[in-house]
Amino acid sequence: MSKMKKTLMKGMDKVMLSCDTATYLIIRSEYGTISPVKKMQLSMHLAGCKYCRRFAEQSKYISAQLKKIKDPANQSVALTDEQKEKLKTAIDTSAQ
Amino acid sequence: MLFLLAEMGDAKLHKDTERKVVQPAQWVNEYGDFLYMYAYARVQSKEIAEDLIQDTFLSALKGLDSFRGESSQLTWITSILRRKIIDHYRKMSTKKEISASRFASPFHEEGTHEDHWLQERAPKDWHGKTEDPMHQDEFQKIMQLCLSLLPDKWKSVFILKVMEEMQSDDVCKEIGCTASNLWVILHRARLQLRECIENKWL
Repeated sequence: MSKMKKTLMKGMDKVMLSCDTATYLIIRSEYGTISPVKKMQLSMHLAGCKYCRRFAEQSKYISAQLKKIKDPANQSVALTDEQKEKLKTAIDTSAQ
Repeated sequence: MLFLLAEMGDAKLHKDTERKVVQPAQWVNEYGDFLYMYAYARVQSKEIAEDLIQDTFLSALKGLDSFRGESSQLTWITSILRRKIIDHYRKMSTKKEISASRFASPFHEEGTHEDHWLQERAPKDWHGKTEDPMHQDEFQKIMQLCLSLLPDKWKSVFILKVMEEMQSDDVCKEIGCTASNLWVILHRARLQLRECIENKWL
């Protein structure tokens, strides 16, 4: 490999993100902010990486579902009568 | 505590109970299921959720004098439950975890493909399953199961940051982590969560 090509490759390595870093930035940008440079690097990476595009898409869906399940109204569990009695007894005993 | 109101999501339920104050003997009937569902969504265990709301009711009983009626009684009790959930994860994450280092990266660890997806563990095509609402219940059940399988410390960080929407600094104060550490944990937790869901769902 010529010296110039080597230098060029090294430069590219610095610009091109790995999938590890790309997925990190996807998560990080969801809960915080990333710099404009990182944002650009991320879109460049996504343009050429099918797997990370899938990861980003699936992450969006997972986040939406996480939002849904944290709302008590979307949970289908309920206290049984037995559990309710137990709790009432605990409150009664403690209130006396 | 304003954000808590928004957090609870169910505006209707909130409106109905806005000024309602009921006697402790009625708490279980009035608030039991709501609190149970709130806790279950965050601890993924019926037993732990039950313990947490029992603790919550008893603390509320003790602190009855501190309730000033500035918020609804349900909001007040929910804020106590929220504190119990944070304590639960604080205790959980201070326990020494033997398996803390068992994270198997889905990326090449060396070679020309270093830090790029391992072929067999790269995200698969979900074939539009996410667009079909039919699959949503099943997806949520699997996701809760996969959440419960995360290592304790990751789960603690994940639940407090993502489900409770706490600030990173506050999460780290409770759990004992650094800011950069927190992002690494969130990243790994999401990688593992995604892969677990994919393996069980597709």
